[in-house]
Amino acid sequence: MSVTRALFRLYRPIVLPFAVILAVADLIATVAVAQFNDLGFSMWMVLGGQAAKYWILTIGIMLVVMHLRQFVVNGATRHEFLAGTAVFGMVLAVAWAIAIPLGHGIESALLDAFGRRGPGYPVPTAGGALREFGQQLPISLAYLVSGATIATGFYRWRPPIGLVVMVGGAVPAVVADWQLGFDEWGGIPNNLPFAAGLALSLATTGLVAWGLHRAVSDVPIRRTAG
Amino acid sequence: MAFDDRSPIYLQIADGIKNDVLSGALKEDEQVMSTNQYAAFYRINPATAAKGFAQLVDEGVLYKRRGIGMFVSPDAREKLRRERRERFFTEVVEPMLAEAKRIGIEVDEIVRHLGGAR
Amino acid sequence: MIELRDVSVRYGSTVAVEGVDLDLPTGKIYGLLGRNGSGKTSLLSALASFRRPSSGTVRVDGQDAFENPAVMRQTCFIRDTLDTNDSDRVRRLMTFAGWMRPHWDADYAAKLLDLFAIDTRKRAASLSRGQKSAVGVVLGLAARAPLTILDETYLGMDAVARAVFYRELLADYLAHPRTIILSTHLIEEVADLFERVIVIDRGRLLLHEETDELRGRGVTVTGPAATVDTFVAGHPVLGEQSLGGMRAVTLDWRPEPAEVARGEAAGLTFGPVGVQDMFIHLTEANR
Repeated sequence: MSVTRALFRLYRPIVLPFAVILAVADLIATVAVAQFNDLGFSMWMVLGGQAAKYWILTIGIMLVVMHLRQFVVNGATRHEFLAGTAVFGMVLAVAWAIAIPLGHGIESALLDAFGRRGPGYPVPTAGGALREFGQQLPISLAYLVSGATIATGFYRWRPPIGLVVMVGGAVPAVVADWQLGFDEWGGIPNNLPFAAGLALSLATTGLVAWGLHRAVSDVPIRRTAG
Repeated sequence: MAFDDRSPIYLQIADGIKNDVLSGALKEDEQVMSTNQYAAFYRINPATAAKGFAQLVDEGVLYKRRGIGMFVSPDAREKLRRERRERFFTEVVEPMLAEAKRIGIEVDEIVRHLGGAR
Repeated sequence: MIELRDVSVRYGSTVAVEGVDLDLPTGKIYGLLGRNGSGKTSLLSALASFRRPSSGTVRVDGQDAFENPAVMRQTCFIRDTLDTNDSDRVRRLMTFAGWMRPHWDADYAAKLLDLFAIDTRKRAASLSRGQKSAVGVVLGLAARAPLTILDETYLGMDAVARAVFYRELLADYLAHPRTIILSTHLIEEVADLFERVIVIDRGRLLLHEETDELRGRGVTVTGPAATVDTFVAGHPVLGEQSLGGMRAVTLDWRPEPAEVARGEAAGLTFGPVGVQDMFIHLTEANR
């Protein structure tokens, strides 16, 4: 079985329950706020946006801390592992990039149906949905790479060096947030044009990803603690 | 049969089978265990078992029938007896006499003892 | 053929393995012997591509091993720590191996787990030492990898379980011949399974020979000190012990039957040197 397929099988039982929990949490939070006021912002953009980042950051970490060894010990090469996780990660990133505008649309429709959609609420448009996709995809990729790089720093080297790598590894996530992160109205609260911000984010993510690739390509698989 | 460190295992294997042939436990033209069966039974490496068997084939105690297995040679018993006979005096009697001399037993005493066994 | 050429493994300034050259024909059962800290595990890590050698090359059937999918897919290296995530259940370990290992035999794995009485619902972290060893053995055997390496995996098992392991190992090797390397220090009980023995001491290769050769290599001569000394003069001494007027000397030499007879006539006794004793003497002599 390929690394990608094995990863999907490993995470299959995790993704659905997580998605359900997230949807329920969002629903509860929205209902709670809606008791007092009509919603003037998008709860999903806040909650879903945060979840997207930190869930995929955690995946990036776990890929290195748990799965790298698991796969190599069972006969995969490190390159096969990197390639497989790249595909897996890309699929997850695209999935989130779709989930954000999709959830936004569903939220808007539901709020409208229950008459809870306030005047400040960012009603989704086709162009806006496309842009949300274009924001979330690089953000997800950045957080995935950051998570994996931070974990690699501590897996491969001693803590002092791990800390240095951690700082460098955090850069994609920080830049993505800074340039592409959306606020609770789904907008980008800074001045750089979208194209430039996107380019910067992809460049930093790509650079750190290259470093990650170099670090993992010949990383020793150490024994776990007895 | 347990193996010990006194000599290479494959020689101990060969000796063991020779003893079986001499005692009649293995009959002439009878098929012997395959090397794999032997290895599994005595819990040793099959290559060692094969080496022991090869030794026996070289010495003419066993012969191979292609595709079937290893068999005891038809004249193996006689052959082994003859060999053992030749070695009996140098390997058994001489050392006994040396030991007897060492501990002060006269040859006459031995002859008397042997007379009783006749 | 597995070829190690001038393999060294260094951790910073520590040298764990130095300049090892080995040619290992495939399809045999090898015993890798070495004291703790001798570099056994580091050598095996390099062989299994868990670690790139600091220098030198590892080739399997003519191909460089490191990061080579064809080679790594056919190699199974089980260490005593099991290399699993603590939260993984035994069942999951088996399933995963089944996904990844081309020759995995799930039925055989199930049979072995049953034989060792392992509850597959248990998590790796909650396995006892003996159970962990047993799971390692199951993973190693059921993978049926053409190159199977077990690094002291089974040392956590009790004597009865070990006997079961040896029996199963031999049976499966007979049915599915492959290259098996067992690293151990419980030498005597398993030496009969090895076709060849490799001894590593202080990071260097000390010897690589057929087990029977190692077994027949030495002799211990015991008797009155002066007689012993005369007899052993000129032969390589591995060790000696004196008590009162008696002396026992272990030699890296085998006397001819005639010399044995001569010695016995002079009042000396001759004893064999087992594989384990030979190992002890050779590594001590290496100090």
